[in-house]
Amino acid sequence: MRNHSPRTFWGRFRRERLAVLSLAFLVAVLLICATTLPFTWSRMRAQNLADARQPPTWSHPLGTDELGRDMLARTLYGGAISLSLGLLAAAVAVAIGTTYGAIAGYVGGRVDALMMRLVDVIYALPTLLLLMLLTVSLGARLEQLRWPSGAPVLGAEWVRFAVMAVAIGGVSWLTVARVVRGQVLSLREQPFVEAARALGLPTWRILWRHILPNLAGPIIVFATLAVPQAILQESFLSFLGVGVQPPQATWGLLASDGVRLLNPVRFYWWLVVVPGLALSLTLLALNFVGDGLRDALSERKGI
Amino acid sequence: MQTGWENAGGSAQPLPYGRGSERGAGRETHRNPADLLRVEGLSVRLRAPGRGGVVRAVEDVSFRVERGGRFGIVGESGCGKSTLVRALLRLVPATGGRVELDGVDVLSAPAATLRTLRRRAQIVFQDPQASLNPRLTVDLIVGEALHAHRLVRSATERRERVAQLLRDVGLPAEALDRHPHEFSGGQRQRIGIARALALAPELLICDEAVSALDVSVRAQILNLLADLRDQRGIAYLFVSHDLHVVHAFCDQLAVMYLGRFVEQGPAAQLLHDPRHPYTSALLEAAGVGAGPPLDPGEPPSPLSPPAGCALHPRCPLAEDRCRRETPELRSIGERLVACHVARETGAERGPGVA
Repeated sequence: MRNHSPRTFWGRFRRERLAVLSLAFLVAVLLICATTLPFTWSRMRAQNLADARQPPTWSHPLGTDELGRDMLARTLYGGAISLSLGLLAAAVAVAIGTTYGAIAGYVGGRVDALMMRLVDVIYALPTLLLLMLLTVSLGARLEQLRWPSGAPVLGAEWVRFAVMAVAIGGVSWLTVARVVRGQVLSLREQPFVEAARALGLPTWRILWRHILPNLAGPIIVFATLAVPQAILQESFLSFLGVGVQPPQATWGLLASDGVRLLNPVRFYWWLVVVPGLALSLTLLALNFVGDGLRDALSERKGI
Repeated sequence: MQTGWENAGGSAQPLPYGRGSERGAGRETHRNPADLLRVEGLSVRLRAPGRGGVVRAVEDVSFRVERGGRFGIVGESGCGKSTLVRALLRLVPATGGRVELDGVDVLSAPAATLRTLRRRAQIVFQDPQASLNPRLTVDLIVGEALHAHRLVRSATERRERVAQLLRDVGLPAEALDRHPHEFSGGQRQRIGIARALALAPELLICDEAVSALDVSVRAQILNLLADLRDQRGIAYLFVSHDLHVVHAFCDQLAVMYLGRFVEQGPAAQLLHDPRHPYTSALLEAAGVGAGPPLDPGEPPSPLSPPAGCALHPRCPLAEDRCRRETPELRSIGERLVACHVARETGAERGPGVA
């Protein structure tokens, strides 16, 4: 069997052309967005009403928005925010979901049944409603957080960002919990876990040393697929006006601003196409990478 | 029966001693300080998937293993051997009976006691591939328990100890930083043995420890186990479906069928002069026996064992009584046999395992 596919995980991943290409694209996007941040930080806020709604020109390669802000700077900045929000939300989802699922799966029995019924219940609630509830309840709390000196921990602008990440992560951990629990249930029966118990190792050590490392594959795949989902969810919420608030910018927010300016008389296409294209290409690439990772992983024999 | 405070063999601390099972004739209920492991009336019932059925995986099993003794358990696959040894260390919960390791009750021990007990009794598992975590290096696989039990203080100290353990089981010190998949089956089993030895146990449970190995490798591993036995005086509980292996290794033997011991006693006696028809049939199947073979067919489902003697549908000697009454273990000479029709006297003919 092994002769047909390379033995190592990376060997198999390398054969997934589309996934490798997507990964390269993502790395490029991430690098560009991150390294330009010092420049885009102020430029994306610089208004110039005289230059409002300019189509792409040499001085503004991607045009300007209704307040005359440079769309290139705004798109790059929005990318940095969108991507970091996606990563943060995925991290939150993985952290909560893995802990929850691992405990449920390892302890088993009634505890497991109870914990997973709770997941079912939350699953049944509408995601959007949950997100809005979390946004409202968390937002107020976070805004009141103060350093001992009295300065706010997070500026008003960033409160919404943090709330979004925590809320989206807090909604999408359910899937991780289910996946992890299933894996732990089968790993728990593996002889090497039994051997660890026979050695008298404490439970946390068994979970940390013997169960979690063997879960790394599925968790990485999930995390990769959770990032685009989080970005998309944030965009969707921005469309509804409950996402990240201006003057912050994300791809979703930029696109929604562009759509708002759509009218039958004049078509400011760059305001919709630029952030929309950036968003969809990145989401597509993330999904390709996730699929590639999953395929490379599932070809593995054994654990 | 004396049930007061008695000195638990070897240990200085006197321990309360509860009532043991008094069922079955000829079962010793007195305490013998030479006993390392005492099992009395152990039962394990497992919930069968679906329909709420109950499998009596282990039913009323009693035996003792002396310090440095070698106790063998044989039986077909699925007869409950593995469940039995797992219940001894509480890897699966027992539903009844009593297990004592050096006088300390295992089944009701609190978590802290249980950890020290597990240190004193270790298992070598059947499948050397699956029982080693594929992501860890040998150093960690073998040495992890040393850390957990605070037997070493640093990684350097652990590495030294593990290197010594690897030498003891015949592996080169370079093995330290490799992963399990880089070894052959026999070498992996040596790693498993090194892991079990790391905590210097007094009892080593070998659960089909050589069954997954090639015949030539099997002999090497058996020799290694025999050497360790001679050097360290470790007691063995040796579980196998292979009579040859058990014969080479054990001085006491129990034959298990559908969760019960059907015959137990000195290994040489059982193998040369089997009294239970099932023991004879096992010997016959191994090509060394004299007894009448069992009727062909699978053993009955443990979910619904036959009434009376569980063996009767396959037994060539079955009588009416066997279909009604479950035979209790009774003593014949030095051994215990659970059979209504077993001979009380020695065999006139029939060589056993040579």
